[in-house]
Amino acid sequence: MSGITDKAGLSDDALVKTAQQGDMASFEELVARHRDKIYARAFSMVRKEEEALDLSQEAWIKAWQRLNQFEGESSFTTWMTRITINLCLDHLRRNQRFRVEPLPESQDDPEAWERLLPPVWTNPTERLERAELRRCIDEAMGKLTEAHRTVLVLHEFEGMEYKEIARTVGISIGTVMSRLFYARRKLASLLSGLNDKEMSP
Amino acid sequence: MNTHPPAPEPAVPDRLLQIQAWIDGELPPSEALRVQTAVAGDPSAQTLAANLRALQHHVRGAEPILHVPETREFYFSRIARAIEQEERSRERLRTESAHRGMHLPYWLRWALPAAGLVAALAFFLRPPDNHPVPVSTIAAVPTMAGHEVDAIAPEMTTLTFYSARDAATVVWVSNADIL
Amino acid sequence: MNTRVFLSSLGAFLLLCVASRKSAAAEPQAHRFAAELIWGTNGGKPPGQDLKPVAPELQKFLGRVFKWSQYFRIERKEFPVTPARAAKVDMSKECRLEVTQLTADEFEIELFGKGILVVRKRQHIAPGELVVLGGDDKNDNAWFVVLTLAKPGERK
Repeated sequence: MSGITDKAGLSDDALVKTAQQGDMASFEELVARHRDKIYARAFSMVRKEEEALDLSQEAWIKAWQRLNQFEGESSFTTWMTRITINLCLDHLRRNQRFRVEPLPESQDDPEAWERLLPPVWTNPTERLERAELRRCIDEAMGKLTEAHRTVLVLHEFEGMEYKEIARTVGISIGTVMSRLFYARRKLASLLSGLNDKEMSP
Repeated sequence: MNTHPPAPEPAVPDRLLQIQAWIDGELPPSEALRVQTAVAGDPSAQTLAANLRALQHHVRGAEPILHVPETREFYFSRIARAIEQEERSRERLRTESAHRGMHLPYWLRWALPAAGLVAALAFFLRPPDNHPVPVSTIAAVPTMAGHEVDAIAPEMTTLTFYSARDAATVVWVSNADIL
Repeated sequence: MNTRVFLSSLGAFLLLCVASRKSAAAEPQAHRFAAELIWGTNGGKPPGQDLKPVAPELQKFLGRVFKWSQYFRIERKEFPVTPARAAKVDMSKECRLEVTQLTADEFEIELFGKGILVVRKRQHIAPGELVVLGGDDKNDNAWFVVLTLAKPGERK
């Protein structure tokens, strides 16, 4: 596999340049290098392994088709991740999986909103290993609705600002803010349930 | 699949969204200062802000580390195949549109089929050949050059790829029981 | 000897020579294939079965492409294929492989499992090339049928 070994030492920029000229081996190296991240992003949005696999591969196919449009305005991984996110959003919309949970009765009481955001551990590493914390949060993320999880993933994992999330998802900034708040409320509630279990004898 | 339109979400009080936006660094400097001052004087707001910060910290550090559950070759083979198919269908479209643009002279439109008919008649009505066709000439099944035909039982699916490095073709069949 | 008889005999003899020479020239060379039925697993050799690991080069190739770490040979058969005669090879009680020559270097491969056609593949195969058919088996194991066309003069 001397062809693949030769490419392993090249930077993403160099690989993109040769791939833009039709070099499939360079593109394969880019895929090998970043496939886990792209797959993880797809999975974080759709939460189904098979769908995430299909969507991540579809994202790579689209990337090849649009490679000549990439001019280095962002990193290659950022550009790839955006393609993946858009595909996942289209997929979720097509499957009409954007639904919203009804809220509990106490929503009319303004002060109750603050009580709806239970305390999260301030120092969880004292109680849980890092990997276990990651697992708990991932499990809790899986219990969110697609609409709430999407804004949370885009904000916390992709580092997108409100207006960019609004543009990407096709909603208003106000809706982004509300959904983010609801998502955090729900997540905190799920995690504090675990917190209580950890603290009880 | 949920076919009902999503239920409208009750509005979150603006005050709380402002605190969230402040934590997220979304407020312009003057607005951020105003919210910061308000939070400093309100214990419940301080609790909320602390909880939001803690949650943000935990979630950002907990992005799952996942690996594609397929080997490099297997994963890339489907991508390469789809790219190839896409390029072939584009080429086909290009060729078809080129042909549609060809206009034959009127007389040629009749002459060509007539010539073909004459040639076919000449072939079939030729005197019998005294020399038998060599057995080594094989044309048992018409195949298109370079075209692979896979046929499988209806409930199965296949994935095919070729590794030039190993001079190997791999065909993976799902839902097939042979052992 | 009667001249006519002599000339008739000579003519018959010459005809015989020409006919046999033609038929020898028309006899196509057989393509020699080897097929291996292989079981892929991460769980080690199954108890009570005397299965041998596949050859190291094949182990390396399969291990690189697929997720299983061990590959055991269940059966191996060598067989000829000519234009006039397709090969029908029983790799096991449930598994049959048929290889038909279509053109000088194009073959049709059919794999049957429990009497059902699993896959039919038309493929140009050059000497030394592999065709690997594979699928899932129970308990997260896998089956493979690896077909190789021998190089001319090669003997295994």
